[in-house]
Amino acid sequence: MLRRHTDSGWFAGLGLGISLILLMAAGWAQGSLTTITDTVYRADGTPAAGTLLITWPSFTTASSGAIAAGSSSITIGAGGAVSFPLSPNAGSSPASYYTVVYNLIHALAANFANLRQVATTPKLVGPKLAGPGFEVLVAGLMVGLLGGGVGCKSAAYRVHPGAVDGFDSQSYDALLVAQATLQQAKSETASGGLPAEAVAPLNTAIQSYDVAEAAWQAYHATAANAAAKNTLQQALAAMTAAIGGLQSVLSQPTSPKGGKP
Amino acid sequence: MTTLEYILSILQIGLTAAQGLTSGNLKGALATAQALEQIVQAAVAAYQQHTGQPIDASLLQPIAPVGGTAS
Repeated sequence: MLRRHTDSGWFAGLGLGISLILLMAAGWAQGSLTTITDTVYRADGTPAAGTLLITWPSFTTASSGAIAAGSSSITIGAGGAVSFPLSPNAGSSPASYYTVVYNLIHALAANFANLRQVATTPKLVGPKLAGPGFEVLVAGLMVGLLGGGVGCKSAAYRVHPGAVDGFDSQSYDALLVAQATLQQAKSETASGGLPAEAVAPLNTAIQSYDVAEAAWQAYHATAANAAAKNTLQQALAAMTAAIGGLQSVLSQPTSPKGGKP
Repeated sequence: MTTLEYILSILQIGLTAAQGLTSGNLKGALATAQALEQIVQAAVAAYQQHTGQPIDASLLQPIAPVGGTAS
């Protein structure tokens, strides 16, 4: 199920890509803002277009400066150029990170961070956002999303052959993604990659998925029956809410691992 | 909410969870982030592998809960 990425364009063709990078400033003298300047590339090596959404929590700098939580949207300039100022957060209280979400049009940034590499190599190896004093990329995540959301207006949804209608097709996609998500989450939980607190909401999400999956099978089989559609819509909503519950748990501060069943 | 938005909501799990990791300890945050990376990539791969393909209802199956039996 898992496909590893390559520099040759693993995500080429996706309508919208979002890569998420957690940045931490290290070795940076406190004081004035520093400007982060670099170039963002697409998976095919061409300069990216789109926006960066930068968010940060509230923190106190090492020099006792109070920084309020906030966000900033940066438009990627010509040739993929980006440049923006950030307050140094090395030594901040509490420890803090900048989160940069790449909303790229048509493709994802090349060379996104491989977390396992990053964990052992304290250098910027993901989409480069370098600046004086910013040298450590702590972690990176990438999410490839679908056309139809924000970002790529030219992406057209392709209805699966054999679908009874568009809703049937899109529900099928949603469930395929949910199934892969939950199965991988199960695997990660079994290996201790996710905290033990994730087990209960994961099982709730699995239960909701199972209901939605059965509802889709019924809808697909009955060729767009109105009652079945209503049931499926409600089941998909419940499934999404349940996954949201899992998401809430995973968003909590880390705790000792131990999610083995 | 459209079904595609449901999918986006599902994949938001990685984004939101990673943001939540900022208040955790670095070692634990990285471990969880690594797990989330695998989850997100699996989800994206599932979509990519089936885009444009004929519907195969047999690909969707119930999932057994963690520590439980198949539902």
